[in-house]
Amino acid sequence: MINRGLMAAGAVLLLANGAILVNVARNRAGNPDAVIRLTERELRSYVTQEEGAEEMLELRLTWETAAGAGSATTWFDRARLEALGVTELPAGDDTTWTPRCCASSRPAYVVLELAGPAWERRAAAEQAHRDSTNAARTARGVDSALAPWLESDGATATRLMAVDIGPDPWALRQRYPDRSIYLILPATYEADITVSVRDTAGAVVAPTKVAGRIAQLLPGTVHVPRPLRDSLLTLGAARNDSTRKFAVNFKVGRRWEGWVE
Amino acid sequence: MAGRLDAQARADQIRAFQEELAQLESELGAVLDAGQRATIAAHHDTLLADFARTFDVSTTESDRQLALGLRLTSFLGALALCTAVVLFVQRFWGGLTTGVQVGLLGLATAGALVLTEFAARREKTLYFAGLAALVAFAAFVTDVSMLGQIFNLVPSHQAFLLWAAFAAALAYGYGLRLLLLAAIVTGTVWVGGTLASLGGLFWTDLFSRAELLLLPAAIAVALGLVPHGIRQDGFCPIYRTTGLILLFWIVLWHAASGAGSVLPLAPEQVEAVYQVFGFVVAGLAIWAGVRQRWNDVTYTGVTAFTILLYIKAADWWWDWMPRWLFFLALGGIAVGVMLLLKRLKARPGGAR
Repeated sequence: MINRGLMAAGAVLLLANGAILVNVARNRAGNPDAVIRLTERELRSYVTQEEGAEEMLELRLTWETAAGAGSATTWFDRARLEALGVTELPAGDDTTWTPRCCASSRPAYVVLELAGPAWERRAAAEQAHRDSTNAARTARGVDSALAPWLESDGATATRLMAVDIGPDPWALRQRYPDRSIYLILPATYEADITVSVRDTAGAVVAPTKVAGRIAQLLPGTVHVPRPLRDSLLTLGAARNDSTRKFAVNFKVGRRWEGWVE
Repeated sequence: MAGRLDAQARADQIRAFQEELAQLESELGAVLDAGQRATIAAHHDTLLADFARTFDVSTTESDRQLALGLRLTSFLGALALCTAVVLFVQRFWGGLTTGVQVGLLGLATAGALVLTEFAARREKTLYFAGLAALVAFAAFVTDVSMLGQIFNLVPSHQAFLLWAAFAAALAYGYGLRLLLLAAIVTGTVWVGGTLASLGGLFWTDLFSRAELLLLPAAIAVALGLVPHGIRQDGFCPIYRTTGLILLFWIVLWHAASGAGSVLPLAPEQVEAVYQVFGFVVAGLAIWAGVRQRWNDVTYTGVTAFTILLYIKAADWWWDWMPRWLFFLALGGIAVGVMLLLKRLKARPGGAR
């Protein structure tokens, strides 16, 4: 008679593999939620370097958080955190606040915009910063370590900008309907808090700063299967220099999981 | 005879009896007449032969040493085979198509399962079955992890439930204690991850909130109090010890520093709560261990109790006491605990 433990373990094996494959099939069935053409600017490559081993290629999504309205450094402010349900935040003049526990990562869905208005604003601000630094350099002579940055035109920087976050991916899709520009992906976020400082007279000299921070995309990396791996390696995906040029279609399925084709 | 461990204990008892009898006879002369000696020897021979046939127990000292060597070699062999699987993946994986990768992952685990059954049918001591089962577990962990990587799945704590169920099935099916430990560890992560998710956090936050592991630790201790079947010989001490070590680790951590607690209290209050809780649980563990003759529970309780005393001593004395006096006081505490344990040991029916 076959051991019951063996039968149970075999059942778990079948169940696990079956459930994963069915979920992958459901994610990729029908029309994808988004199809976006990403290049080496948005995808950093990681290749196994074991001597004699077959190379495995993984691509990591590279993205930035977009600036907020006016002079705000980020759109992910206290109000957005509170809207997401983060309540234990210090008041603006609270100098005694201490976190009750360690930083909390919470799951949510992030909207990433490719080469849209957020990126255009960022690129313009970067260029303006470069121009003003260059002018100061010409006038006073600035550290030559800045030269590569000053001489660059930002043509290698990512154009993928995180522009929104929410708990409901379908609601986000309604707000960002263009499926060729906006990706919606699972992510985690945290509250980033700098407590206010008072001077000796008790006046607040630096108010409390509260902002949200997107901690990571889930999973954040994309496995490149064969034969696409071979094509990308031929295009220099394994090199980390300016000769590395490639583009792939990044698709997101009905279960918000991405893959490349 | 309940199981293999009980059979081994009885075989050890017989060997100790024979050694003591020989020692007595060298000191006092013959203490048994020839008839009694023959009856006892025949009974022992029958018992040992039965144990060897049914449970494959070690009946001599050299057998015991060989058995220990076999267990160690089995564990090291499993580690080596698991490493071979991982290196194989690194060496060839990138060159395989997705279909072949998926097929190989499932087949590797299935193959190791078949090997486990094959070995278990041929050997009662389960050294080879244990090795194959560990490889099967490692292959299954690799299977689920690699499928997640291949298909870019969101990392989930549900994987730990699958691993716990797989390890528990093999542990209970074949009576493998190392697989039970794997099931407890992965099950603990799953319960902690589930609690973190229910609290609105991402599941990996369980690693920065140790208190989420208090519930699985308590469950493990409770499972260690439930009698298990013949095949699950020796499972209770593993449940109890693993649960208590995890529980005391969390308690001692927060008794020393209350800063990272999820309790809605000031850090000093958190420390006080955990110190009181720790002393109570350690006391209960020592009491239950002595009463039930669970050496594992007694030792864990005594260790936790002593560390808690050291933590309290640091709270009270570290800031104002000269260092030499502080460590002298710690030595005094250790001597006090030893005297207390000696008194417990001296009581009729005390710890054994």
